[in-house]
Amino acid sequence: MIPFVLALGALAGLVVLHMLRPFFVPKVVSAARFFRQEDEEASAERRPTLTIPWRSRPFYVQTAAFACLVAALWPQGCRSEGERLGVWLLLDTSASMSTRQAEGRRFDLARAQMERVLDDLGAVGVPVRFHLSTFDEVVTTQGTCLEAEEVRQALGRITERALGTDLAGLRGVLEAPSGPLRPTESSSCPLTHRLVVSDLPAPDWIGELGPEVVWLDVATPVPNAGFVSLVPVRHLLSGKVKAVEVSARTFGSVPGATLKLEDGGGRSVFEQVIDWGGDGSWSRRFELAPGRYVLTIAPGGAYGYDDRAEIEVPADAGAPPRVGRLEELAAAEPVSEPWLVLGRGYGGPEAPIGLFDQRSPLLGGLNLDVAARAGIAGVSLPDGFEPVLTGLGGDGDVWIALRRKPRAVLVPGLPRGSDDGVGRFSARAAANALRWLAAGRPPPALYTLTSAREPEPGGTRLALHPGEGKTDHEPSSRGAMADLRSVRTASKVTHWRRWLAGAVALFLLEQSLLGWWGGWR
Amino acid sequence: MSDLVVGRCPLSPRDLQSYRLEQRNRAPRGRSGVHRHRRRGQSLDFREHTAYAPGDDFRHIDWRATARRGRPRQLQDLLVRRYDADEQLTLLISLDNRRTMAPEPRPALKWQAACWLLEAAATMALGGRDRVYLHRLFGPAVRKPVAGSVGDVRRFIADSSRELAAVDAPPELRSLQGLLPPSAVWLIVTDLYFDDPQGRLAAAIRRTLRGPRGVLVVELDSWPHERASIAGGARRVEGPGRDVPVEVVADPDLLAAVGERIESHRRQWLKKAARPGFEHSRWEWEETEKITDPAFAAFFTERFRGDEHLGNLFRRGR
Repeated sequence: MIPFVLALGALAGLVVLHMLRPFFVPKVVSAARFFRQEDEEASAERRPTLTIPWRSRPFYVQTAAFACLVAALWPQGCRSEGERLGVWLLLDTSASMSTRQAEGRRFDLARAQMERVLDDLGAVGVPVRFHLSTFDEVVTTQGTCLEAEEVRQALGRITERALGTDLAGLRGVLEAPSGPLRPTESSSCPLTHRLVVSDLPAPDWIGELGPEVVWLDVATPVPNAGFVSLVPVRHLLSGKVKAVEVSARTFGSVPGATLKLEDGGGRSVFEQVIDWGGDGSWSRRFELAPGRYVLTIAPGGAYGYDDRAEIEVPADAGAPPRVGRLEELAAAEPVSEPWLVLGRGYGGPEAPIGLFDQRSPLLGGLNLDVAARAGIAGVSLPDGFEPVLTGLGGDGDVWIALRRKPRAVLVPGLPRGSDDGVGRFSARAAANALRWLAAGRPPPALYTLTSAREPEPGGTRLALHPGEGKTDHEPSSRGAMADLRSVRTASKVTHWRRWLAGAVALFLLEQSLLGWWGGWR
Repeated sequence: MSDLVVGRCPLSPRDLQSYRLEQRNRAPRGRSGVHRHRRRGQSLDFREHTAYAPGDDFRHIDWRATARRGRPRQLQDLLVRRYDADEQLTLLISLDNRRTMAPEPRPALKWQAACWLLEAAATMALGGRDRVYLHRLFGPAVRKPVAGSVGDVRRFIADSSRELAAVDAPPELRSLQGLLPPSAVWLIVTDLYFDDPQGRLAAAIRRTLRGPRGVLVVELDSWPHERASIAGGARRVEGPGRDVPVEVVADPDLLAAVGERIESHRRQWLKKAARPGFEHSRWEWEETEKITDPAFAAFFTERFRGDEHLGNLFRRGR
């Protein structure tokens, strides 16, 4: 009420101002000398009458500009509620969406679900705008501020990809939309609701995002069997792949699922009906020579990307460790291959142990009493190394040390070859060092995973993304389509900027008319 | 006032030449007024036949023409050949050059019309081999008043446009001596907004009219146009002759009062100046707020061609 009274008072003030003190438009005329002071006085006498402002055209423009200004500043007039909806549609395009269930492919079901949402919101009776994104390993914006028909067209172009699902990334995007999806009051396409359609159950954290986030799970439990992992087993010292650990799993019952292993020439290496364990898992180690192999599980169930795997068992174990003295390592720097660095050997005078790192694998199985008697000649700690075993001289009397990147191990010397305690100590120290160096080598790749850059599987590029083949969960949605309609009040549209712009435009118009058209008043 | 620019006169020299010939072949209307009386004289240019009058030279009787009319019964039946006198006439054009003629640098319509009129009249007179003098009504005297060519006329306009005289400047009349011989015509182009408290200009006009001379005042009345541009609201009126702007609500009553003041002012002066031989033309602007350049050129052309008094300047007397 108070703003209303204030506005009326200000409007009355404008009228009075116009009556008492109109804006005088400068006019230069040759007959100016025939205007006299009494003309001014006579005008002043006539000025405070009601008729004068009504006669003035600028008065109406100024009043309209003033009204716009009042509307812009009006506390309640700044906002109007429930006039628009902005729904952000997020569609799961991960590999699991290719799963077949009784009603059809999950991706098709999800797309149909989205189209139902479009139809449903079209009948709400308020303007609706949509933003469309897809998510798998990455979240991709397909379009913002779209009409329903544009969304339908975009959905027709989208299909699932042989990729995994990054739920953590999805959560980050949902919590903090960026770019055009960042909610701002001035946006012409506000973001009022978020709708996720997926074949994954609604995660627990979805409830933290508020009631306007709806998660629809289109999945129903279907049986599936497929590979879970293919892990190379390497020789401890040489690093060569000597076997492959194959793990598979069934979700629901897939009777008669048979694993076949063939080599690159199509010759069968292994074939057996899988005897699933009680938890539905199965694994077996296959000793395989270097070469290409194809593993299949048939029948594989509702999800196809985990039914076949092509792997390459490498013949090369990678670069072997180089052996040399400290001076040779220093001369070869920088190096990329692992180094076994030899110290000044054994056989010197006995020396007590100063420091030792008891957790280090390099000291595994070593008799440190022997070390004290072995007469190890210590060296100064080389750059980049960490001491593992030292004499009393600390960093100036290092016996065993390691460098993590690139890997290198300093040992006192080569194995002595004797059967005494020093011989066994020297052999064990060297073996520990070689094992640690071998463990640091990058594992040979049996296969690669599809990625957002290369989403198509082919050859040894597989789509064995964790969790994608888990097809047996009960559907778990959060919220429903009705929620999108019922929370219309969440949409608040600000108008004050428009009113303010209108006021400015009217003011500029009035001033322009003054400038261009002297007779405007 | 250095920004004053006068556009080219919409009447080209060719237009003016044809207009001059057209006027020459027409008889003047009325006997009085500023007529250019070419005296009957002794030049070789045959002008007309007239009836014999006592005192006419017998040598000029045209017997053949008389015979063609039949046997003459009395002296008045004889036809006498008349010839144009070879006398060179004088046209003095005085230009009102006070600031009221150009209240703003542009569009200085009134000043433009005055300069066009001066140029057109001088061009026509020069085409008729008349003597033309140019005179600024206010301010310092023109060093060389005689105009021998259209170029001199344009230089005069350019010089005059450089700086206008103050509104209250006294009329410059001293240099008129010798510029108004008998049979001369004095053409004054002005807006009549000047003050002539001692009546010096009116007195000069009256003196001029004592002899066989004519005076024509062409009044450029821009008030209707200015009235239209002012009308309708609160105005801060400023212009030449007003040191402090006056703030008024320009309603019809007020504008009528101002118009009446202007009318009274000009009537008083005209009354002081009017004598036989004095003529006055009033070129009234259209009552429109904006006047485009083409419209103004058309306005000037129409007024110039339609002005009977100006036309009489270039007609033959009888």
